[in-house]
This record gives sequence, C-alpha cells and structure tokens, in this order.
Amino acid sequence: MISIHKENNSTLLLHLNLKEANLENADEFKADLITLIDGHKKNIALDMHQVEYIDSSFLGALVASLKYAISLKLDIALVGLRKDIKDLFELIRLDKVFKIHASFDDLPAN
Amino acid sequence: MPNKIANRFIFPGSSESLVTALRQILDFVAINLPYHINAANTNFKVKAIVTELLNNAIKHNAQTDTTFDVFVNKDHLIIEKTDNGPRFDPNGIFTSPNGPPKSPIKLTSDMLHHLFATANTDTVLKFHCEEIQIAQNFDINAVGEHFGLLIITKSADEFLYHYHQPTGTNKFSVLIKLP
Repeated sequence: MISIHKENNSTLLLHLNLKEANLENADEFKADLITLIDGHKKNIALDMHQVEYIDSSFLGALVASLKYAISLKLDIALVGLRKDIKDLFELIRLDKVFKIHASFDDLPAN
Repeated sequence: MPNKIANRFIFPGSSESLVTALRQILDFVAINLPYHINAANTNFKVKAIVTELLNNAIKHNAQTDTTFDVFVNKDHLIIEKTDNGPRFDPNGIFTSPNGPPKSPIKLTSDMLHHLFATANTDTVLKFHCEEIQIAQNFDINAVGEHFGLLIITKSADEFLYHYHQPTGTNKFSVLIKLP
C-alpha cells in the first residue's frame, strides 16, 4: 500500500499505491504509516497522485497519523493530489491542516 | 418535482460492493444532468455525497439492504438513502421525554467547524454547519477525525434526516440546486 520513494536527511518520501482510499484500507494505511514514522523518525511526504477516490474514513486516518507525527515533533505533507481530492480537502478545510505540494520537487529544501 | 428522471439503486451494505454502487449512481447522474449546468462541479458534489452515504450504510446498516433513489430535473438533483436500520438519534434527542429541542443541536465541534442539526418537526432534522476562524495557536489535537456528515452538509444545498415511525424507516435526503 505504501512504498518508499526516497529518504533524505529530514524527510521520508512515500508513494501511496491506492486508487480507492476508503474505509476498507484506512486502518491498515494508518498502521503502516505509523510504523514508518516510528522506524525512520523523519518528516513524511506522501505522494497521493494515484488516489482517484477518498472517503471520510481515510481522511480520518490521515488526520490521526498527522496527530501522531506532530506528537513526535514531525510533520506529514501531502503531494500530488488530484483536483477532486484537493477540492475535498478545501471543502472541509483540511488544506489548513496539511501542507500540500504539487510534487516532491516543490517540497522545501531540507 | 415536475419532469423528473428517477432511478433506484439497491446497495447490499458490503464494502466490496461500495465502488461499484458509487460508479452506478455517478454514471446515472452524469448521463441525466441537464446540459446547461456545470457538470464538473455537480459531479464533484454528488461523488462526495454518495461516497459518504454509502459509507454510512456500511457502518450503520450492514445487515440489510439500503435503497438509493436519485431524482433529477432541470432545477434540482435529489439523492435519498432509505433503510430500516437503527434510528439516527443524536444525543438521544428524539427519544427524550420532551422531544427534540427547538434550538440547534451541536453534533460535533472542532477547531474548523461546528456541525448542527435543527429539528424541523418531531421526526425531521436539518443539518447545517459553521466555519470557525482558525486560532493562531493551532492545535492539531483539536481537529476532528469524523468528516462524513460534514462532507455531505457542506456539499449539499439541503441535507435532511427523516424518521417514519410506523415503518421504522430512516431516510437521509440530499438536495443539490442545479444552477
């Protein structure tokens, strides 16, 4: 579900390999992401360009994962959101909660 | 609703059938939207709403079928989700001895939104929400993790819950105005 793209000094760059991010895979996603956070102790940049469909359960898992990262003084940035997905984040104002970037190239230099 | 086009979809409540059901309803809406409206914007709203209504069916009514009725005319799109599962009774308002209060009931609250339901009658609730100005000292732990009702409320022009006592039927009804 999650694969490592690259790791630099401060950030772990990940791909989310899902088309449908929904209640069927939300719990597994959260567990996998928290395991990666625990194992690497770095900020996360999660590329979601493959995701065509996301529901409230998966959004809840993303927020719960962000809370965990912030409790360790880390952060999760989201990368490559399709327009529909970005519009949904904006609708419920999660664009105020997550840092959102067009691509890995747009991440701040570490 | 004059000159309406209608279709009924039966959803068995299993997560495996979720994506298929979503596509069936989205396809029906896409084909039947009046040509003059902004299809991309309407399809976005319908996708968000139907996704969360299907989610709601899996979480709260997995044991029996859920019916989705979709109506379209030149002015409105209406989606109704009907089932005979447990009654939606937030904070016990319907079952309290005094009946539902006249004032809005706060269903959820976090640092981004308050979500309310107001009882129109003893058996009908109307959902609405308020955005909250984000505080300077942003606290991630004050952000909620349950967005289903919020997504529907913010995507719809009107979002109601009806309970039909004699049959024990729940109906969530969503209206989108077609500009």
